[in-house]
Parts: sequence; structure tokens; C-alpha cells
Amino acid sequence: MTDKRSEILQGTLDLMVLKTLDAMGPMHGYGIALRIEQLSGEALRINQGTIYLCLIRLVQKGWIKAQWGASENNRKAKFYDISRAGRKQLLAETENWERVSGVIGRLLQLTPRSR
Amino acid sequence: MFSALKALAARLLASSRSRELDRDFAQELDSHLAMLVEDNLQRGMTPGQARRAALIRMGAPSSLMERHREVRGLPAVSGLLQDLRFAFRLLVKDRWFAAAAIAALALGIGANTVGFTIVNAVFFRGLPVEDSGRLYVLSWQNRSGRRSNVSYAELENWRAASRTFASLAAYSEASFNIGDDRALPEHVPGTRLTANAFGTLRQPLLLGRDFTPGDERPESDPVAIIGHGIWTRRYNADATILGRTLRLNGRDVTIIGVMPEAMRFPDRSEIWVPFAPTGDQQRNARSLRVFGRLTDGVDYRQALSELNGIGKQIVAAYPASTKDLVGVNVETFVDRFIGGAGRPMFIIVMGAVILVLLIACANVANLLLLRSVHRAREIAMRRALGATRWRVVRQLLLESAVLASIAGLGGLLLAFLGVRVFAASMQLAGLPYWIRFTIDPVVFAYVATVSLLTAMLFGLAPALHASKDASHIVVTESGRGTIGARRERWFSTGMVILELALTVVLLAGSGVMMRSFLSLYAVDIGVDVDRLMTMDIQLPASRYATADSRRAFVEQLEPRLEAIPGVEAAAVTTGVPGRDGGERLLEIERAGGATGPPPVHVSTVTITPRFFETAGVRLVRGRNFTDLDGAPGAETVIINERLAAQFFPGEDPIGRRLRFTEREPARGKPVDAWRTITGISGSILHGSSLDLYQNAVVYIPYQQEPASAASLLVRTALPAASVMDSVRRQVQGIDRDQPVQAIQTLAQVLSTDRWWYRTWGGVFAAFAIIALLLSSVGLYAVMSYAVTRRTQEIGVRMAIGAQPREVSWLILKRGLAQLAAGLVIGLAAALGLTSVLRLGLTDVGPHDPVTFIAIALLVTIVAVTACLVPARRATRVDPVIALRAE
Repeated sequence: MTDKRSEILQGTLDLMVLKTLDAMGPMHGYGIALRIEQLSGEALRINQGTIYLCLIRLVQKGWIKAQWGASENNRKAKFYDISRAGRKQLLAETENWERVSGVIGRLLQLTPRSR
Repeated sequence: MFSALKALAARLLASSRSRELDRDFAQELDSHLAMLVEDNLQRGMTPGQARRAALIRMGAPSSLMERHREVRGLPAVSGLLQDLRFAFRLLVKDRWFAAAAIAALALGIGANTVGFTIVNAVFFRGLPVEDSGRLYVLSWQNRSGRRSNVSYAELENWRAASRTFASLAAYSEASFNIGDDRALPEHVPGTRLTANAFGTLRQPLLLGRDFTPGDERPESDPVAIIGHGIWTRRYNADATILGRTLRLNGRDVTIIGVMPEAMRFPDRSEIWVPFAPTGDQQRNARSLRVFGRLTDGVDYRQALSELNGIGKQIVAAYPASTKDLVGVNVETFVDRFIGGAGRPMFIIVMGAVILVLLIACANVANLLLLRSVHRAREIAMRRALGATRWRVVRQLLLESAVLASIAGLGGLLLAFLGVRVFAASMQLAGLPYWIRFTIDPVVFAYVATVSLLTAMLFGLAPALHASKDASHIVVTESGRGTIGARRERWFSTGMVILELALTVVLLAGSGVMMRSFLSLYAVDIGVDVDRLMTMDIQLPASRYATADSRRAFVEQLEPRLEAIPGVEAAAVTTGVPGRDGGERLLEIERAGGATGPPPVHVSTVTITPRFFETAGVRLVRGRNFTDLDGAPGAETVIINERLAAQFFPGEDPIGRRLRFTEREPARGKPVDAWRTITGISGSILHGSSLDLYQNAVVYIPYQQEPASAASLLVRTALPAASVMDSVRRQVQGIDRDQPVQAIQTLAQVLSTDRWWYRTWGGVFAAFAIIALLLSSVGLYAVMSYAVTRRTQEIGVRMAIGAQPREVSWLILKRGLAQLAAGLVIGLAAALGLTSVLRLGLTDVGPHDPVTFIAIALLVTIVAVTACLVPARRATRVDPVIALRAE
């Protein structure tokens, strides 16, 4: 069913969440969702709730940490922060991403042979 | 990798506190939704719109929660837990079915576990010491294919040359009279061993110190280590025992240590003393058993080749003393001391218990199958609703696993009981101490494995069968009379036939074993065993070194024993009826110096003149011994009827002469004097009942050969307990330190000697009964189900005029067909099997027709009874009710 799409999504979403937390510091789930929506515009249309599946996965892997706190307008919210393992992972993923996207980019630039 | 492990751990953790995490996530979603709504309100939406838009943008909380749980926990596990709960609920619902299946399996697994415990104890455990796998027994191999012990000089050669053994130790078994001022003297098995023996074994002491090399010197103070038995029995487990003295064969020795409970190395020893090599050790005085521990990093093959190399060097260096030797054996204790003899028996036991388990499995598979028909609708419904076949099979297998696990526990309980009974019956067996019939972790692992395997075995076929896509069953109301049912009937018929065939095989095998064992057990030895009592006496060499001293002891003893009120007669002998007194090569003098037949082995028994009167056996011809027989120049013997018939057919043996000889007479040893036959006795069986053919006996006067180990034979009608004290008082009236072994009636002695036959006869009888029980219950279940299933059909038949007899025949027919098939297959297989099981069983042939016919009859009777009950029930079907049943 949705398996294939979410698989692709999963890796990218993980990377995006990690990068967002790395760049912006501790944030709650809503904040992360908003931020990713802003950045991706219409390209990534997902339910905001999906972000939590990604968050729980990252927490279980030990790449981010979660803690209950108070939001800007004093609402109880869970805040996520990237851990050291998470930073290392982000670095590795970023490199990997750049390498893969570089390869794909070059591949796509090949001009078709004239027949 | 690491993060994956961490994630798995987190998931595991999460499944254990799911409620708390659910609440946490619900709160998080709540706050997310609230923030979204707030933003929407700020954008100017109405509260209603704001909430709806927020829900759309976030996604439905319930579905998010579901996916959250999936990511968070272990979906497979939670599914499994669900199945498990369902399986338990079903078992409770069908509790009669469950009880039957569990009982059958528990019997099968229990019998199997007992069998495995025995095999494990005998073959796999080895000595109960640290790293016992690296201990090996070393022996010479001689030309005739036998193992030979080792002399001290050779042990020293091996020690000096071997690098593969970190240490080599030796022992020789003996028995000792022990005495002190505290308790009655006793005769106990003991061992002389080199000072490094316990160190090599890595056997710790309970108290005191191990032997040191200094203790081996002949001039050192004599010391001993006592066993737990002596320590508790004689000294009340006194912790200050060390340093106390004990009289060992009349010599004072100092107790330096106590061994832990159950430690009786090498066999049944209760006391250990250092082996003191004397100066003039002959190279061919091979009395030592040698064992060693491998050097670290060395393997068995290296050790074997090294020792054989050393062996060759010794043979080359000392040709005179080694002309018989061809090599060196390096074996584990198990291989050395269990090896040949016991192995086939234990393999047969294992085979029998596997058969019992297979029968139980076939039984339960059948029950499951019958039940799966009842459940056809439920399963079809589940398939229709989208459950995959694998999902349904998993569910059904899980149910089987639950059944098998409960049965495994039950089987373990049964096994605890069975092993206890078996161990108790083996008490008399004189097995080495390291064979302990107890349930250990290996056995637990075995039970667990067997339980799960049986679950697969009996569960898989019915599960695969039941999970076939059978959606049509849902449509037909009851699911009866469909095509699927036909296949199921074939399967069930096959199972019943298999069960019956296996039962016949098991019964035939057990029957042949039982019959031969019981016939050996019940052999008549030719005397009245209930009125004869016996006890052993061992005159230690330290105080009875000369033949005269032993003669004097016996001469004093006999009249004293006969003076005890109630004792009718008493004698001293080396072989009480039923027991062997030794074996020698017999040579008969032929008239005119002609060479007679080549020497033959016969039993020899040394007796005092009162022996025959005490045993209640008449002399057929000639005269009995007098006190004068056996003196130099008056060498005489009495032979038994069998010997007379064998060696003097048609002749009168009285006055003829015979003597004993050896295959390879040692040089310098005087030739045995000719002995004159003075009488012929009635036959008494000496020796084991398997040696019937050897029971040609020569009786020798004690006067001539006063043995130091002998038995008292007492004829009395008094109970053993009351005689024992009087006998002991009389013996110790002559010699204060002389122990007497516990008195027994000859009947008890025989049952002890023949425990082997009785025990195995009993074991096989138990297996056979369990098998018969299981397969008859299986047959009954199937037949009775068939009746239930055909109620409607029977009702119709009866309504249109069928007679009850015809109806019961209808049911019986199928059962009898299965029975016939099972019998034929089973008997054919059993004939094949029992030919393999020869095992030197003397008087019952492998194709013993009596056993086979009896078994066929027994199985038929039981099976027909199992069919008749349901068949009769069929005739009582009320047509009206049957037709309404749908």
C-alpha cells in the first residue's frame, strides 16, 4: 500500500528532522512540522501527525531526546533536541545524501546520444 | 548497528509499558492540535472551522495512535500475544479435548524424558569433576583384543615420556575390613591410588588434605581418606575426625581427609589409601588402572598417537614382559567402563521411548484434526475476512505449542517420578558412582526441545489441512459431508493405522525383551531359596595370612553357628547357590595315560562338608566330604550331575581323577595334583542365569583351599533380622574386628543379582502399557467421533428399517479395517525389529511366536473394545432426534 512511498519518505524525513533540530535547537513537534512545511512548500504534502512517527523512531535510536516543557504561549508540549549520536548521524547522512544526489545529478545531466 | 540494538531495546521496553506511552502520546497530539487550532483561530476562522481544518492537517488521532503503537512496540510480538491469549481461551473452552491431548502428550514426553535421562546419565555426563572431558583412561591392548591393566614400572615409563598428559595417575580397587572402638566392624569397597589421583581428577575434598607424594613411601605413616558414607555412618559427620585412627585390615591408619557426598571414585569406593609401590615391582604385574588429564591445548588424537609411540618403545625395550601387547588404548571413562555391554540396551530404551512419543503424537494429531473440523467455520470465516494462510497456520501451531508446553511440564513431573523409581531400582546395580539418574539442565533443554518438536509434529499436518481455503464451508451451515471432510477422514484413518502399527512394534519389542528378562529372572536354581540365608565374610590377609589360620577360624565358626537356636545347618562356601565360585580349566585323567579331551572351563566352588546338607541337596552317588578330605595326599572333589553327564557319559566317575590346569602355565609353578572324585551331587545352579550352559561344577573341600573371601550359608526358618545378630555375635566372639556383611535370604540375593532383568523387564512393561493405553484411547476417540458425525445418517438408516446389528457393523467395519491394517504393518515391522534385537537373549528367540500371538490378540481385544463402545452407542440413536439434530 503506502509502504514504498513512506520508505522513501522515512529516510528523507529523518534527515530533515535532524537538520531542523540541529539548526534551530529544541523544538516541539508542531514547530518541527511547521518548519518542514515552510521549507518544502507544496513539495511534501503529509499529515503533520506523521512527524511523530518519525520522532518516536529517532528517539528510540537515541538520535534525539524528548522532554516535556512549556511552549511560547505557556502550553504544555514535548520538546525534542538532537543528541550527540544524532549529530554524528546527521553528518553521515548529509555526506551520504550529497554523494548520492551528486551521482544522481550527474547521471541526469547525461545528454542522450543522437540516434 | 548499535542504534538498531538500542531501538530494539526501546521497542521491547515500550511493549511493557504501553498504557503509559499511549497516554503520553495522546497528550502530545492534544497539544499539537491545540496549537494548530490556535493558529487557525488567529487566521480568523470560526472555532468549528478551525478545529476541522486542524484535524485535517494533522490527521485522525486514532489512526495516528495506531501507527504510533506499531512503530513504538513490537508488532509481531503483540500479535503473538494476542494469538496466545486466544489459544489459552480455546483450550479452556475445549477443556476435555485439551485434557485428553495433554495427558497423552505428557505420558509420551514423560516416558521419553525418563529414557533420555538414563541415556544422558550413562553416556553423556561423564565424571562429575571439572572439565571431565579431558580425562582419559589408558590401558594396554593385548593380542586377544582385550584391554590389560598397567604395571607400576610401565606407569613410570609413561609418566616420564608423555608430554600430552599433564599428569598420569593410577588406582586399583580393593576391599577393606574397617574397625574401631565406636561401631561394628565393616567390610567396604575401597581403592588404592597414586598420590596425584585426586589432583588429576580435580576432585576437591570436603575436609582435610589430599595425599602427598610422601604418603606413597612404604615407610611413611599409613593414612586414609574416608568417604562421606563412613564419615556419617560411623562418626556422625564429626568435623574433628581428622587425625583419628581407624583399623584397616587390622592395621592402624590415620584419617587425613573426608570426601564429599556421593564421591565414590572410581566405582563404589568408600575409603582411599595411597598406593605404595614396593621396590621389586615386576614389569608384568599389571594391576593398575591408569588415567590422566590432557595437557592444555593437546587433543585426543595427539595423545593417542604419542601413547602408542611410547607403548612401542616399551615393547621394544622389554620384549619378555610385553609379548602379549599390541598397543595402547586411550578412552574416556564412559567408553572404557560402559562401552560395549550396556550400550545396546540404552539405545533400545531410547528407541522404545521415541516410539511411545510418536504414538502420543499420532494420537494428538488425530484429536486436533477432529477438532479442526468443528472449527472449520471459524477458520473459514477468518480466511474470508482476509487472514492469510500463514496467519491461520501460525495461530493453529501456536495452539499446538501451548498444548505441548503444558504437556511438557506435565511430562517433566511424570519424569521426576519415573526417574526416581528407576534410580531406586538401580540402587542395587552397583553402577559406578558417576552414573547418577537425576534430571539436570541438559534434560530440561531436551524436554523443551522435544515438546516443541512434538508440537510441530502433531500440529503441522492438521494446521495445514485446516487452513486450506475452504470458504465454501461458511456457506454450508454445518460444514459436514464436504469434499474437505473426505481428505480429513483419510488422514485420520492413516493416523489410527500408524498408531496401531507403532503400538504393535513397541509391544512386540517390549514383549520379547520382557519375556527373556523375566524368564532369566525366574530361573530355578535347585534349592529352597526362602529358608537359606547367606552373608559374606572376608578374612583380611593381615591377620589371616596362613591357610591354617583361616581353617582354624572356619572350624571354630561352624559349630558356633549351628548352636544358634533355630539354625538347622550351616556351612562355609565360596559360591552359595545361585552364585559363581570361580572358573577353572578342567583336565580329566584318562586310563592308560591316553590324552583326554582338551581342557574345558567349569565352575569351581569350595565348600565345607556340611554344604550339601545345608543347601538341602542330596548326593546322587558316592560319599560326601569328611574333615579329612583335602589334606595333602587326600585330594578329593565332588562333581555335579551335569558335569558327570558331560564328561563321563555312560561311565562311573567315582574314583576317577581330574585336575585343574592353565592355558599358559607359568614356569616354576607346580602342576596341580590329581584329585579323586568321591561323589556326584544333585544340580545346583551356580553363576548367572545367562551362563546355564556352563553349569558343570566341581566342588572342592575348603580344607584344601581355604579362601579368605567366603560366604556363610545358614539353613533356618527364622526371619533374617533375628538371625543376623546371633551370627554376628558368634563371628565376633572369635574375632572382635571381623565384620559380617548384611545377612540376606538367598531369595534376596538372587533378586539383587538379577535386578538387571527385573528392572528392564519392568521398564519395557511400562512402555508397552503406556503405548497400548494411548493407541486404544486414540482409536476410541476416532470411532466415537465417527458415530457423532454420522448420527444423522444412522438416524435415516434406522428410520427406513436398518437393524441395530447392521448399524453397529457399519461403524465396526471401519474400525476393524484399520485394526487389520495396523496389525499387518506392525507385525511385519516388529519381525524385522526383533531380529535386530538379539542381544544374546538365550532362551527366547527373536520371533517368539507366543509373544507375537499374545500381542496380536491383546491389541485386537483392546481395539475391538474401543470400537464396540461407540458402535453400540450408534444403535441407540433415536431416529427422530437424529433427524432433528440439524
